[in-house]
Amino acid sequence: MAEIDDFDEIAKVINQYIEGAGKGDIKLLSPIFHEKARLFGEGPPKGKRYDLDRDAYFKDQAAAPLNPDGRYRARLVSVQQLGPSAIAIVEEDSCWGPQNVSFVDIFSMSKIGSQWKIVNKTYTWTGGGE
Amino acid sequence: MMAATDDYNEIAKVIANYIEGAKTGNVGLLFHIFYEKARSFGERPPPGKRWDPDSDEYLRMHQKEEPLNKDGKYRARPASVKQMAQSVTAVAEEDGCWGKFSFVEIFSLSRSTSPGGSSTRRTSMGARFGANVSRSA
Repeated sequence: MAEIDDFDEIAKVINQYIEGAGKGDIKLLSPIFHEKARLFGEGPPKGKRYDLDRDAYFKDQAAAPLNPDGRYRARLVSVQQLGPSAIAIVEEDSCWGPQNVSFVDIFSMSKIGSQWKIVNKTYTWTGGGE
Repeated sequence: MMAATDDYNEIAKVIANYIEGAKTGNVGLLFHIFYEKARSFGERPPPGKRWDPDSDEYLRMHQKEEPLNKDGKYRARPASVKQMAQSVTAVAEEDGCWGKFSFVEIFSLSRSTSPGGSSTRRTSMGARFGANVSRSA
């Protein structure tokens, strides 16, 4: 049962991420990201690094919600759990509406007490935005 | 097709350097593979004790403490590598750490290209987190 419960908790965190990122709602994102979490990735545009701490990432996300026009779609594609550590992979399409940007996100998660938190987001920009 | 093989070889080299650095306590090896803003998240023995250090604190720990292979029992292997273009997760298993502990490590790696988009690449670990702390019998 424990692993099913963990999977459900992880999926809940990821769904909250998808909703929060879509709306640019920091109140939804804040409880699911560890305060020392970071974001790592590149682009768009090509070659531009975004290696941000949590607060800088939240600021960007609030300024530019991923779903300004209802076209944003995202889904959890895999979860690999190793005890109190997990990796969740999310695919995102049609980010920022007409820009039609796509990403693959790798979330590193850690179970702290009874709560799963995102401790790192590493993303790959896979299309759009140029 | 070559790019994925080249990337895999680079990733394997980074993980091999981690294993060698942790095994021998060679902080110089670890310094080069961890991104300066990397963090480690997880629990260390005893069970339930959180340890979420930044890279400086993590490297200091390796400098201060005895190497994982202090008594020759340390064994480690990369268990999986999953690459999505510039982002990667790599899993490593470690047994016999400090003689009696086992860990599973999940590394997040990110590859950066130079601003001009040249072929210069640097793969570094943005996060290390592991747990499943167990005492061997």
